[in-house]
Amino acid sequence: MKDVTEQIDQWLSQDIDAWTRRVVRRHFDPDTGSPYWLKRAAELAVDPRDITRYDELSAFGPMPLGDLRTLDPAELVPQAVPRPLTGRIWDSGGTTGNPCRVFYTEPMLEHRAAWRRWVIEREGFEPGRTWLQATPTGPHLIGHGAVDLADLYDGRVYGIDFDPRWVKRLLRDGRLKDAQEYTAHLTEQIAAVLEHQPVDYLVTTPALLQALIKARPELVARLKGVRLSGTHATPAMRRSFHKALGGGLVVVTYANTFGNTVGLPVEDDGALMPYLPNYPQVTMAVVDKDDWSKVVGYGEQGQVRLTVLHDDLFLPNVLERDLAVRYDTGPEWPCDGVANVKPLQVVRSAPEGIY
Amino acid sequence: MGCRGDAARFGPVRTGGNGGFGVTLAYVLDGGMNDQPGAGAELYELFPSVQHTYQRIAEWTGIDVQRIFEEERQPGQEHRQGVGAIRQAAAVLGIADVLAEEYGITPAAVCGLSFGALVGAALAGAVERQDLFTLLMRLREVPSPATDNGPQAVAMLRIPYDTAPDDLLADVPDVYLSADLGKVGTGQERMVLLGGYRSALQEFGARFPAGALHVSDDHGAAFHSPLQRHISDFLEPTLEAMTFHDPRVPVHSCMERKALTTAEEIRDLFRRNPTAPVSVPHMIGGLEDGGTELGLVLGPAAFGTFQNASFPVVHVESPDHVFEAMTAVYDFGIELPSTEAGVTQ
Repeated sequence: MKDVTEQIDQWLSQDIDAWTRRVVRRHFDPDTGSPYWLKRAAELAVDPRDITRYDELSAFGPMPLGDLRTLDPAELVPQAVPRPLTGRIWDSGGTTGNPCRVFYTEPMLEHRAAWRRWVIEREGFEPGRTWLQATPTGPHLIGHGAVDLADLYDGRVYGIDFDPRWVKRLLRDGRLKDAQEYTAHLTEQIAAVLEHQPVDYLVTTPALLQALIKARPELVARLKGVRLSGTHATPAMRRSFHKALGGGLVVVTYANTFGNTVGLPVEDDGALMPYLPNYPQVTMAVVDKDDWSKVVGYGEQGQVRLTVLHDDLFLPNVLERDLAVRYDTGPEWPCDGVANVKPLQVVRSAPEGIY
Repeated sequence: MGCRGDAARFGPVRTGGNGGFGVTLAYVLDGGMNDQPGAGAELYELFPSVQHTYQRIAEWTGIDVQRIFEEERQPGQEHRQGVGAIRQAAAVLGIADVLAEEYGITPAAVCGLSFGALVGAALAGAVERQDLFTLLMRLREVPSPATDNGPQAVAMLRIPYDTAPDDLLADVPDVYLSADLGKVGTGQERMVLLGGYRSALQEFGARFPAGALHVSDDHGAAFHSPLQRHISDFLEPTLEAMTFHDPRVPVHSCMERKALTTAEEIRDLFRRNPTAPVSVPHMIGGLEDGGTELGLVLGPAAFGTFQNASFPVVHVESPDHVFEAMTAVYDFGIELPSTEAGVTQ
């Protein structure tokens, strides 16, 4: 079982400004930079190679996600990475249209896996256990976690696949009952594994766990733990999951294709659920919904603005469709956290409203 | 008078824990003055059920559909004198009809703030829709109050969250608590609306740092205060003529932390609405007491007002929002109450 503690400590000790310079210079190197950013450089008001501080990344403006839906993901990878590129392209959820696509180089996958390896031990999951991973696979990076559990945590992993895009399509068409039937199809498969196989831990979405608890509570009660991501979980749901597991581990994570976080201990009897991004490659700010450049105060709610600073992938100022509370992680950690993440809705303003 | 065959007729709630209500999905309606021209138009374009709803409202009010969508308030008009309230109520009912007819979504409870409480009562079947619009049209005709003490106004003020709004005004003449909008910002403060004579509000404002108390220039009415007694008096004959029913699903009050379940309680809500203070914490607290697991905020709204609830809330005003509402119902595993046989118009 690989020990990644030293690696994580090294990342956490990085100076964010120095790290910013390192990544920006690599992507804007005229000879070995990434084709996408070298083309974009001509449109920018500043010379990116003059950027010396993390805060100056605002000069890039919000990341145009439309570009990630249409361009060849190789365009975002520096030419310093030998061509032709070999490896996997991963999609964002794709539940609201054409997905964003990014290429993960081997060091990026190792980074993601190392954090995952580090955090599941910290969360209390034991190595050498048996897992059931009931998550999307295929183009969805979350499915790759099963490989990490086996390779880095001595896990034995069962799998159930599902297609979240189909569920969203059913819902968009108003076919709630069909979506619920698909859920029943999934929970039956999960139950079949849990019934007959020695599974300790379950990886799935809060929505599927909720459905499983309703359908087969006795199987959930036997689990030693669950690790959840992919759909929104409220503090009340989290409490109900704890009750269903009867003391087993309940971990709700916040992650997407661009970057992961580490769940920090919940506060206020579970009412505050904070997360720390996988620094320094992934950082998050909580910004004013109407002004992406303005970071809100600690404890205030706003839109999540994510910045990716991998050596092989640079995505500044990705405005997520997530709402969160800005969280002060204190002196133990090098960057801000986010808490109580939930979907962001685009709503009209009410000019006359006084209520 | 009225029509009981409206689309969004909700069936009886399943019973269970939580005081016998077993609520999972609640509809939440904001107060008035959140309308703006065009509100509700996208759903109207897409769904025949919404077109039908608007057509009936046009018949009941004598205001054609185009005017409902587009007419703006004239200079010098109070909000209640324009078509804004008609537009906001129509948008809410249209959305509820789409959710019920097209998606099979109906609530197990409703709750509204101020004007929203009246529309919510109609959604719950406690008043006929036609009666509601008759009342809203009558509201447009209320004569202006006597101005012996100068013009009325409404003001906004942030106060520490643990300050009781009533204590704040204990020795202040002619200034009243209109609305407690609950937590704002980091949760250390609450926003309150105060109603009163403009001069009294300005005098009271001098006790605070400059700019802390903001007297609105747009509204010349001391909403939800005793100074609105003339509205209650004017509407009384109309209310007297209205038929109130026991609501099909509980209507959570904006005046107390309480679920209203009888016709008399709904009548009392309508009677007190012009003069009694309203409270978002009472609304949210009542819904939490009832076991609400998801709130759909229907129609034009200051959505942020409801985002401090312990249960998730989703705003539904446009077609995209309907999809988001469906996703939330699915993700949270919400059990929907059955619709009655008469869900279609």
